[in-house]
Amino acid sequence: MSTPNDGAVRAALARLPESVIADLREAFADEVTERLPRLRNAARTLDPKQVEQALRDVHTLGSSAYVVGEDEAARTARAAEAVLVDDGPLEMFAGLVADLDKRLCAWER
Amino acid sequence: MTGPLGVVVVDDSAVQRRFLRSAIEAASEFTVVGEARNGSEAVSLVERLRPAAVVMDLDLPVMGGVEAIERIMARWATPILVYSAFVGGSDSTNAMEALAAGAVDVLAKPGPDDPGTLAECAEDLRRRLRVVVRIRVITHPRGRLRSTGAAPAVAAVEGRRPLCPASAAGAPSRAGARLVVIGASTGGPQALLTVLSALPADLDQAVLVVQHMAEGFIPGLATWLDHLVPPRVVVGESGRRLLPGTVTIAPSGGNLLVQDDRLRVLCVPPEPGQFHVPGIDATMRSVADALGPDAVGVLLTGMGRDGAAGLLAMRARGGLTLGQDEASSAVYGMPAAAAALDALDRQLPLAEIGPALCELLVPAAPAPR
Repeated sequence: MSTPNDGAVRAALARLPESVIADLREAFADEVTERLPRLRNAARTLDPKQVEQALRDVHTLGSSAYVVGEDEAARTARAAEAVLVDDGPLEMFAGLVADLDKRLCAWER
Repeated sequence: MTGPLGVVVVDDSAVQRRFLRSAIEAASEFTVVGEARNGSEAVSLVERLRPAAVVMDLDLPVMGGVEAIERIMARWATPILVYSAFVGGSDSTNAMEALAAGAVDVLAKPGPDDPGTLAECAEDLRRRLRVVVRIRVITHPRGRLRSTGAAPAVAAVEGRRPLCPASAAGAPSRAGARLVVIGASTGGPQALLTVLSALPADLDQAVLVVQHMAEGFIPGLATWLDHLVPPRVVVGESGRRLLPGTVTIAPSGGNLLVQDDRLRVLCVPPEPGQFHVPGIDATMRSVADALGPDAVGVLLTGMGRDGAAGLLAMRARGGLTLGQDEASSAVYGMPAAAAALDALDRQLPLAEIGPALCELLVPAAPAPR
């Protein structure tokens, strides 16, 4: 499991100014804090309305995770998004959200 | 001395907005003057701030990106660069919708499995933004556009009925031609939609399109066009033949060459130092070699020179060559380069190119007795 402190930030990200990296991480922590609980609920209930919102949440988290160097979380979020876009089994979606939860929970405030 | 050019960034993710601001403001000629979290905020900010350009995500809450682009282009024409992530090509079709609504370029948000680094993505963003702010844009209300012929009447092509009004091309018939090859770059998707909508589904010739486009968007372009134009539209595959009545779009990642007069195509790696991939010059040169006078070449809007030398090779082998005129081009670069090389038989407004192709390619009906 990766955490905000495990040095997973890529070399490319490290080339950005420190102040920018700090801002990006702050913004990502806010985003995880807002969206991850909604994803947990959607995965637990599989309620269609929550799943609809979950599509936006995994889409956003997938792109943002890559920006802060959380590549595995980005892959997991993209996979979860693909399941929803392709009308795949919701159980698979729930499993991927559980994986995403493990990878990103350390960012929650 | 003028100050930096103002840019509005639109994304519902604060992380993406912060990254975009950092990437854009690393160039001294740009400053981010506003950030919007959804399409509705974007429309309001553009009205109030009148930026030099907008960088816009498509998957937005409240009001989606495509609708926001339509609203912006209808009243405050502004160059818009789409910056969008996509999964399995679905959002790629959305990107084509954005281009049809008036956006001028698309750039894929990077992901962990994409080549290149985040820093390279930022550099690519700045490079494209420098191009985008120079593009002349006009108000672009889609409804008006569809009803005037400036772009095709989308509803009219359902069922793949031919739309083939006559238009004077001022050139002898080319009904014996085997292939039409079309090159396009910036502004190309809309231009292709206009040209291809004028062609009948039962066209005797094959059509090959080379469109400069970010990696990953070609399948979406094909899907989008296939829903809107009479001929079938597919992505080219190495080893297959081009078929009459079918539009084949060159895939990303290499050059698509026509190998012989049976219209078999081959995908080859780009040439060393080749800037645009897929390359128009490479394809048109192969067409000149394979088909000589039995081909028609068309060069549409786009920045740079790609296609000019290829079109010249086609003309030298007896092929007919057409170029989009300056007034109707989003960017009058490639057709201008072709004109400078004397590679064009005719220059035509965009709306006349499709009808001209019909007139040239479709055999005249026998006169009634």
